[in-house]
Amino acid sequence: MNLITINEPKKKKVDEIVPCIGIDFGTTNSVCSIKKKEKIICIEDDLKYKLIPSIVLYEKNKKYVGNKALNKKSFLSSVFSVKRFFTKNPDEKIFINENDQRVSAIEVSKEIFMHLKENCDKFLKQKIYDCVLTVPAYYDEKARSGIMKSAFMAGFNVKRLINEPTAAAFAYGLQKKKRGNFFVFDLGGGTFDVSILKLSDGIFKVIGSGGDPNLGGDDFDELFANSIIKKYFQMSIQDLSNNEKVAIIKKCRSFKEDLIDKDEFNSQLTVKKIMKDISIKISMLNESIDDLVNKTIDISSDLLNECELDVNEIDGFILVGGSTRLRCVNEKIKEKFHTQIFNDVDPDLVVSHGAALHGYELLNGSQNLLLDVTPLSLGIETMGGLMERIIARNTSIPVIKEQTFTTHENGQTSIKITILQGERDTSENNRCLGEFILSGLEPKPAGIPRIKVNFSLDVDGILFVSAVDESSGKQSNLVIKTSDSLDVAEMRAIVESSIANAKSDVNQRMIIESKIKATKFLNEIASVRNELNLLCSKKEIVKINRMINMLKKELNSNDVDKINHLIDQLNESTKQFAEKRIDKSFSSLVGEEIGGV
Amino acid sequence: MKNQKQKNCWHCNETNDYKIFFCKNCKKIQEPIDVNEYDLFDLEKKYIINLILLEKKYLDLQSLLHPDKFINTTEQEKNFSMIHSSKINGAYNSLIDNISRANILLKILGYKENSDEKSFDDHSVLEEIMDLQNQCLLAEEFEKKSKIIAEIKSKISETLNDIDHSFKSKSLSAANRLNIKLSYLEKMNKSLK
Repeated sequence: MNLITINEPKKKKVDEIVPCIGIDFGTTNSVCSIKKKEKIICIEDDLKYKLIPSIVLYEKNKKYVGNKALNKKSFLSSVFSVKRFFTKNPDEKIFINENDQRVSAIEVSKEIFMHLKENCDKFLKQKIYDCVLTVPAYYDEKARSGIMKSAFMAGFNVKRLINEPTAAAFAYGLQKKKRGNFFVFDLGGGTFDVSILKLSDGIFKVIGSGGDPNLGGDDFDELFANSIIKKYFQMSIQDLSNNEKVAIIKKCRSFKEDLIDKDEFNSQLTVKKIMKDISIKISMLNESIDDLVNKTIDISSDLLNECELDVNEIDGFILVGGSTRLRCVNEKIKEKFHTQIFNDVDPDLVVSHGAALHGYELLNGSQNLLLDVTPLSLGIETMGGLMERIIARNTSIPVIKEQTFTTHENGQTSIKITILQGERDTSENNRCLGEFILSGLEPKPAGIPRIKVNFSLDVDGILFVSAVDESSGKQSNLVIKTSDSLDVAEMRAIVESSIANAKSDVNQRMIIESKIKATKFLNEIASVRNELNLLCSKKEIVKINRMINMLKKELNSNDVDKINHLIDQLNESTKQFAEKRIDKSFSSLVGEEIGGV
Repeated sequence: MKNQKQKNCWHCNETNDYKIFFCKNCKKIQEPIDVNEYDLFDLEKKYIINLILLEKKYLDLQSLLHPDKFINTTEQEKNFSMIHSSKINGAYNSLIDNISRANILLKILGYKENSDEKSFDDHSVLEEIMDLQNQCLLAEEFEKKSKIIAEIKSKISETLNDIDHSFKSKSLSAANRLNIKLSYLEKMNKSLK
């Protein structure tokens, strides 16, 4: 008889260091760093640039990423600022790739991550999969799982997602070992983030965060460009063709950068084939962006109020993002908040440095600890389309919370649990993260059943939701649809549990992903088999069965396209059934809580 | 028969004290147990607590049990760490809040609310609060407003002392009533900001 022996995992040698890349995936630029021999190194691409533009340029049968895309003159088919789409719908296929196929923000970002991966492999002359990835503090569930999926499909093993401002503070805190409250002011190319962190004895805690996802240096460039062409060409930026607009904004961006250490200079600008000598003054820049800079100051003050902190309780302002180099931004901060300013680490690189440090400490152990909070409230929809908060914003993660709900109608046998994220009271104003149906309740008068809803948010800010009917005690009640984040978490679990998978190529990952999706779908159908037979016509059932068999067969193959195609088809033909099923069941919850846990 | 205060390690089967976080033999993280907020932080069961000490204990526990410290371990250990860490976060946040801390202490000390006590009928308290609320609405000038805010603040600290006193003299029902008063005052204080 063969006995399978299980070996204790080998203890790693004392001086063997596990490398981990820190990735700052930016709206405008992305940066990768790694800690090696007590020093943080920034990864450079073939052209020796540290800042990699987050741009993908699709041409017929060809694609260019990063600086290679930027150097091409054709802007029309480039995808810019893809990071912004994660807060909308990252799965929506709104871009066209090199093969004229529609692709989503997740897929475009995958190209950028693959480019970053390639740069890292070449620059470090070794393949490193483990990474820490940073995200804006206000990124919600969908955005977080979406970006993780992109990095994952490009071959990265995301060990931890951390908030960008936290990463920046981490870079400073470690070097200086400070105690106190710190304000992180992150004004990047496309996003504005503010956070307040409390540092003590090597422990970092985010006590609050806020910001504006659609405010950044790109907006400054557009306003500045508009004021220049208004002054010298009596035109508005909206009068220009797209290509020219992009070119002029790019030119004005370089003017803006020149104004960091100059007060005025002369240059030339061509608009609609008219070339003019122009004089650029710092006052022009300051005036054109004044409103937006004030807005960043207001958002900062709001956060201080929200955290019930006074300006003099802040021990320092950490400046992050290229736009904080602008003198007017610097001056406004100094004027409004009389406190020490930290800007000695390059504001473009500081986030990725912090991520690299955190990654190093995660994998190699350290005395430091990062305690983070969830940026947005999480809850479920209750009667009348209201959101009942289960986890409030700025709650420390990880967190597990349970709340008990009840039914609204007599004899209700199922309820729909809709998971929401956001700060508004009505559910339609918040983001819907997903929904599922808990059925098989024993029919009882309204208000009697006790449905325990459990929210569990892990350190990456990834959410798991379950609902249990206390009287039947069964949690085996079916789940029709789960949030996307579950897929990512499952994928990650599979990859992490097997080193073989971690080293496999991108295709392998896509196969795993599709197979999980297919298996899950098949299980869901199997669990509603009885109802399906009841609610569907014979013809429909035959059709569905045929597809199920085909899909099951295909699971043994490794043809991703075929599997995905079959999933789509099956989805289409069961759609009607799903709708009928929801109609059949009462699907509302009562807002009243009958006892918090 | 196994002592109730002991349990076996899931990994090496060593017998440990049930409250222990790590096995004394194999040092593996142990399954979280149900423990009240005060016991989790090893605090004396008093209403007024030393918040600085509590924060230190909170951070000490998190540095031992946070999931970041278990990144290269099995799913089982990661899961235990996630539950431990969540419990510590939850307990800490409920203890630093004056109102929820009183409720926790009442529960630990075995206080059970009578159903007729649920509706708050202490008229003198209600009148006092209504009066303050009216004053707030009428006060438009900044000076008057800040005077009222100061008054509410002093009432809050007064009530905190009263609650502490009630706990010390074991009059739990009084502590509960005062706690409801405190929640009204805190709500008003918040809305004035």
